[in-house]
Amino acid sequence: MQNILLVAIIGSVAGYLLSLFYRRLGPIILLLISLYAFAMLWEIPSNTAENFLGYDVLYLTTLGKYFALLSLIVFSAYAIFNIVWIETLKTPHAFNALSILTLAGTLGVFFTTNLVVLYIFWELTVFASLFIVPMSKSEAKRAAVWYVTITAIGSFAFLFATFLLYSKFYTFDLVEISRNLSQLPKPTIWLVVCSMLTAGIAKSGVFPLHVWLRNVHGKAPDTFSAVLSGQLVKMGSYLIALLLSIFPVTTLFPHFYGGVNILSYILIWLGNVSILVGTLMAIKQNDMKMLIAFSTVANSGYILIGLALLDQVGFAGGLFHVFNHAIAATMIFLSFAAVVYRTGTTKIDELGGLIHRMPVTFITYLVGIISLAGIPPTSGFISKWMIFQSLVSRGMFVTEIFVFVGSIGSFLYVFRPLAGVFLGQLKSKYKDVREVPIIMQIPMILLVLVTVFFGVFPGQVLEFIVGAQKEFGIDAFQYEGTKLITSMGYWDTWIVFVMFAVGFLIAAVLYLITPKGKKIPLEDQYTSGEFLHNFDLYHYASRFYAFLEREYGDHPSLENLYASLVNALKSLGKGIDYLVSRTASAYVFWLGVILLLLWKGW
Amino acid sequence: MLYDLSEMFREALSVPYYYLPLFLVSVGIYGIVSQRNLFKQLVSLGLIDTGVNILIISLGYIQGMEAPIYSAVTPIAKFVDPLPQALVLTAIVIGVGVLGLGATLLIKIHERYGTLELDELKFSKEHQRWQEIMDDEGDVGV
Amino acid sequence: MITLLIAVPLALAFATIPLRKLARLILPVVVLANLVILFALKPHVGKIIELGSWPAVYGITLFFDEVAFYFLSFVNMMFLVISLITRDERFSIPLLVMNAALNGLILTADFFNSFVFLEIIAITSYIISTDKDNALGSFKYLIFGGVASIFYLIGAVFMYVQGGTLNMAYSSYIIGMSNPELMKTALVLFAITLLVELKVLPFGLWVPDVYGNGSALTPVVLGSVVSTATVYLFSRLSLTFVDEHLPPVFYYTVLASIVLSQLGALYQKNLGRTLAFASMASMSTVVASLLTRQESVVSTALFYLFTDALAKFVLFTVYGNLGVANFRNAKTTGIAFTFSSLSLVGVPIFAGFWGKYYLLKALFEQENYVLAIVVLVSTLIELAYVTKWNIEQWFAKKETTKGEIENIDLPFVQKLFVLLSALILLVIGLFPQLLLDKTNLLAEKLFDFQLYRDIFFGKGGM
Repeated sequence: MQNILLVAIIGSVAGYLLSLFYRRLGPIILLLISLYAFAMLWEIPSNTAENFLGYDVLYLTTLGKYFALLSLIVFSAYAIFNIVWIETLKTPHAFNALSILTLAGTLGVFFTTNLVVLYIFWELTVFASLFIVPMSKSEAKRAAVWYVTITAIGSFAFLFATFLLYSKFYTFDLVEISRNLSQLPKPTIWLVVCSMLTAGIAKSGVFPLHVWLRNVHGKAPDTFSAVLSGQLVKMGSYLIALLLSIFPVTTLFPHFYGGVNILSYILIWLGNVSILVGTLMAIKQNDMKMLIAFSTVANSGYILIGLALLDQVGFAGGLFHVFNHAIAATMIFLSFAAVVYRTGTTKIDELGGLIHRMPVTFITYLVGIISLAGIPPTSGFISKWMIFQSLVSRGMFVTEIFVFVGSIGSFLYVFRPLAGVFLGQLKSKYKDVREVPIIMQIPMILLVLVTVFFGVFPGQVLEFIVGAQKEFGIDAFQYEGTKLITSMGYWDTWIVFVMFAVGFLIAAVLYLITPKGKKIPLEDQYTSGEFLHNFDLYHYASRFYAFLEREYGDHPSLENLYASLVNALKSLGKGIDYLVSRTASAYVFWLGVILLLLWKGW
Repeated sequence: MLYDLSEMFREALSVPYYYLPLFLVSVGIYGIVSQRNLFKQLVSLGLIDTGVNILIISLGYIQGMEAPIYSAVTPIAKFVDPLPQALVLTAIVIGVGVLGLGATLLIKIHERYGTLELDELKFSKEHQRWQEIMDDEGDVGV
Repeated sequence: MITLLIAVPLALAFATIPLRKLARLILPVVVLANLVILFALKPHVGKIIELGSWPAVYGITLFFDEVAFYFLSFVNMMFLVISLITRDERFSIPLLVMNAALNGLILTADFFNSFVFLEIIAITSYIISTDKDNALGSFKYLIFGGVASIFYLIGAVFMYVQGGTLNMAYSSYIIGMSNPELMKTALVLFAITLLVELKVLPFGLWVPDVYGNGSALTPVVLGSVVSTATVYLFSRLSLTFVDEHLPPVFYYTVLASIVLSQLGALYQKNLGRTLAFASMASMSTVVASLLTRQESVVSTALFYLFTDALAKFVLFTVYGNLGVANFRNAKTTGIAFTFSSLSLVGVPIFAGFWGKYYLLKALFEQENYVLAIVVLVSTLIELAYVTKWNIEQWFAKKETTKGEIENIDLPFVQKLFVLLSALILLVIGLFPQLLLDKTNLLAEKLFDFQLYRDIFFGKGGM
């Protein structure tokens, strides 16, 4: 592990220098590092301790290994895509160096159970990624500030808890702390666990700290959104998973409802709200990247619910959903990056009909959203099914409703870019658009294959998940080959795949033998004799879900609340600034003197 | 809890040669807080300075003692404490330096702005304006 | 020998009044000579020097120990850098005088002497803060400093009247034995004066007008050098000579000052004023840590102080020379700025991180949660605006009136030192133990009044 981290850190310097000569070398180095790290990491057995620069701080858990391998898949796809895409950036060398540094930081987070080292790598990741965010659009400047501030709320709470624990146990090692945690008084335990979870909640974009996702995902460089949503957000989920499973949460906190302890119950409700908020807001978005950003909020909610259940099926479902959402989000954002690469816009109602020009991109998006929406035979279904199973078996019906509504809602919002961007009629403005270069297609195709493969044969992923469950003393999820067993029955992915494949074949045959429809251009439509000056107004994708948005148009906005909070703080600062003025400062000065001289103490 | 203010005052007022310093310092503080003219503020600072210097000399004064000058006719060891007087000499020199510098600054200010009245002085920011950022609102940016 | 540190700059300052150009050339030489003398005398630390061979209790004494040595080295090194990067010859003579006074302030063991040196520093500071036509800000500083210094004078005389001597060690020993309450009163008087230089609200209200007007020299001299020397005096007075805490109201004032000045910085739309408020906040943090009177906390406060002074040097130098720059065309400068500002906030692998890390660790060990939470909250606010300004400078498309992208950079010498300082911050960030060992030593010595006294009493005189 030390070697991997050092290679990545040195690689970021190398990436910077080599990109100065030839900008495409940067992504290639990132790819090589990712592949090297993947190969090395695959060989390292879990529960290995290692030194880092002479300090005994690295410790690889199965959970960490699972997340690290997943991150490396995401980063590899991102790297390959970037080899061509890097052309569009004005500052490729800094972008390359910071991308590699982000990888180094995020791997470091997964490789340690030492709280301070974890914090250091965490901040390294945040600050490396921070400077990437505004690289392509200058509107992303404010978004980046929000990103770092909200993440910092979490990470400072984490740091506070870290030192609080240190002052009690004189160690930063999480494993050791978790053994003795129950000795602390109850309020302290609440304080510590909640503060630490705040970091995970802020980073994974769970309500109420989800407000940064929309603008950061939406305005970051296009491919980096894939990393943000597919990988960096998962760092938060990792922290939640680690903390919930390594602390004896079930014994520390009293049981509350449905066999779930009170802390988990609170987290599940945060997950519920995230699903609702994410889904409803995603439906409203006209910007396709912002739309998927809110879908990330909803999916972080799913993951949180799964993890918080902390049982045989639900916890496994949560971890599996991490994998599915990471891959799906990467696919979707990469396909968007491809669309933007060719068309230059992210507005859904400015596009249309790209299926005819960019079929590979379309298929990537299609498979991505099928997985995201949880339709079999993709792997996305399995994880949602597992979470659902666990909820049903506990009788948590309210949460089930949220999860169910979220799933329905996800059909709605993923359909919006599908219909608006890929289906429908091609705009004349984009009739010369071509498919992206082959190098960009490679990662997209690979990810499609990965999704379908693990949808049919989830064994390898489940092996890691079961390993992680065993490691933390949770009952292991049961499966035999492609047959996933829960207390309420089983699901055989192979049979389902065969069924769907047969159905698909039948549909394909029907499609081939039935007569083809006639293709007409956008201009050729019924206009009641009106002459059309602007065909775009007739694009069906504008105000796509107006009938739904109407229903919750005046919802209260947390973003506005935070913004007004900041403005209130700034007004306070303005007050301080007023004191500086000559008139006020003399009074204040003498007040200070009188106070300090005469006030003897409290 | 506040110190017993009344006791402090009674103590101070029991010694007649503290009256002058107290008066001068009070006038100075009032001047600095209330005056809108920079020169008057500087004069107030001078008043406080003088008041404190007198206070220090009075601290070294011992009732009924002589000035600390050695000569054939002065009895030895019936002097007031000479050290505060030496210190005050230094403090006066420093005070002159500060006041002189203050006056210089006031001349500069008058050259530049044409006035010493606070109400008429608008702290000039023209050379900073270009460094400010404009789109700095607290919004999340939609 | 150590007297030369005061005598040489002072003598040369007056000698070169007719020859301004010469003064500018002489300044770095003098400071370099100071450093040479300092390091040559390093083996002789732990000594007092009695001027005019009067016994310490009557005469003027200088006290040279480890604490003084490290503070002197830091101050003179910063001075060396300042003297090399300043090309404005107007300020060479004030700088020479200030150098003498700073050395004197750190060395002296006499209350009235320290008042005189403090006043000389103040007067030269007023002069230096007139840079960039800022007479108005300077005048405000003068009123603040002028009024505040009176409390120090009263305090010094008070010590004399009560203790019968102006020597710090003797009079605080005598008063500490006979009436500790009086000693505390004197300390309150001293502290009020020092809080003005230490930029604690409400006494630091002059800072934004003086630091924030775009001068490169003023904030560096006042923020990185004068503040450091003042911290030395403050920690000597409040840690070495007194056994008790200052009244709690000081502590609460300083805590409020940390948060309020961060909020002030958050509001600012001008980088200079932002940095001014930021330096008020960080200096308040140092003072708050000193007020806890715990050795481990004081050690980390000094760590924080040194790294902060270095970072502020970089930030103010860049701001003073470039204003809000466009770092795309000045990458080296930009990287130095970003490194330093991240170090200021306490982002890992920079020196500032360890400053905050050790501080929090020490605070939690002492179970002082209030200050810890205040530090965390203020860091959060600081993080927001530091990020804002960094991104603003890296990613804004600042255009001149002609519509071209601005293309200005620091002159070579400035760039070199700015980069060097940023690298030092990085190196300390990688090997924090280097600095921590020193600050631990300093904190230990600062609390050791026994040792301080013994050096005097061993000399006899009483």
